[in-house]
Amino acid sequence: MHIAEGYLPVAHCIGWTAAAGPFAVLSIRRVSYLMRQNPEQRLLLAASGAFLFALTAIKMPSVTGSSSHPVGTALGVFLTGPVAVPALAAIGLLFQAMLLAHGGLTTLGANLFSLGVAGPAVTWVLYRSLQGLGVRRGLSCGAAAFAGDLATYLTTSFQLALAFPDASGGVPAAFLKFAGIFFFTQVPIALAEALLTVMVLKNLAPYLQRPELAASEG
Amino acid sequence: MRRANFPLLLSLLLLAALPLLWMYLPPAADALQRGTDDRARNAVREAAPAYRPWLDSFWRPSDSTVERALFTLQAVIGVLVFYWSITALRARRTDR
Repeated sequence: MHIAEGYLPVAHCIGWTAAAGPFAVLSIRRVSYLMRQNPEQRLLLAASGAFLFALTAIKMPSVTGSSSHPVGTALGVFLTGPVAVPALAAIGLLFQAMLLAHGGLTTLGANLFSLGVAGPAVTWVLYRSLQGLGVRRGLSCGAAAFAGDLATYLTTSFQLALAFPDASGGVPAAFLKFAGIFFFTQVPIALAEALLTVMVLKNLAPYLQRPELAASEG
Repeated sequence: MRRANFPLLLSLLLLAALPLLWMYLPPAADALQRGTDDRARNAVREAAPAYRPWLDSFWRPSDSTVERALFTLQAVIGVLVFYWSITALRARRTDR
């Protein structure tokens, strides 16, 4: 999901930065609010941020013969709420853009949108929907985490397709092309990540102040 | 740190070290190293050969070993902070 430095035209960089900007601001305010709460909130933020930080660094091989990264945002969605996630994602993206030349500063807006906004949004909406339908919590979390991971990469595919439409097929054809590169490789990785997320949640549940609200907007 | 869970910490650190361990894979596994991010970049180059990235990262790791070490560093930092925070969370609860 890391679009490399300079690989989006200027106009698109500006556009995606503008799109991600409000969410980033909101998220930073949310995080500072949470930090001022009880120590448990601070620890949850640390755990969520660190989880994301670590997972986006790990390159996992996939059955397709390629490799990719997990996204690690689902845990943050469940532990700290989706609003706090963009700020956490930004930390990881900045580190990678500046020290690893992975992703970029010009593409920070776009990458933040896919990683910190779109993916977590899908995770949150799906989780709430499944819970509303009475699906067991573990399954809801796992399915939501799985979908969120894929949603991040599909968003990146859309961003690339918008910037580099196909000569004949336009944006839709380009989207299919880019999605094809990411999607099948990502499925097993998203699955592994979903399982890991659920495992962590199950292990943490007894220790959370209000476990039934662990995934609430609190 | 009370009741530190060393097996957990060790396995997390091993997971974090995966990027570094890639170095020791035989060349045949090279295809695995071309991640989807790289493939997407090549697809962009193919789709728009006239497009030139208008900016490059102002600093990039000098070689692939340094790059892998930095990825590992990121993963290790993440693992350590994660481990520390969940240990602290569990310790707080059992203190009650």
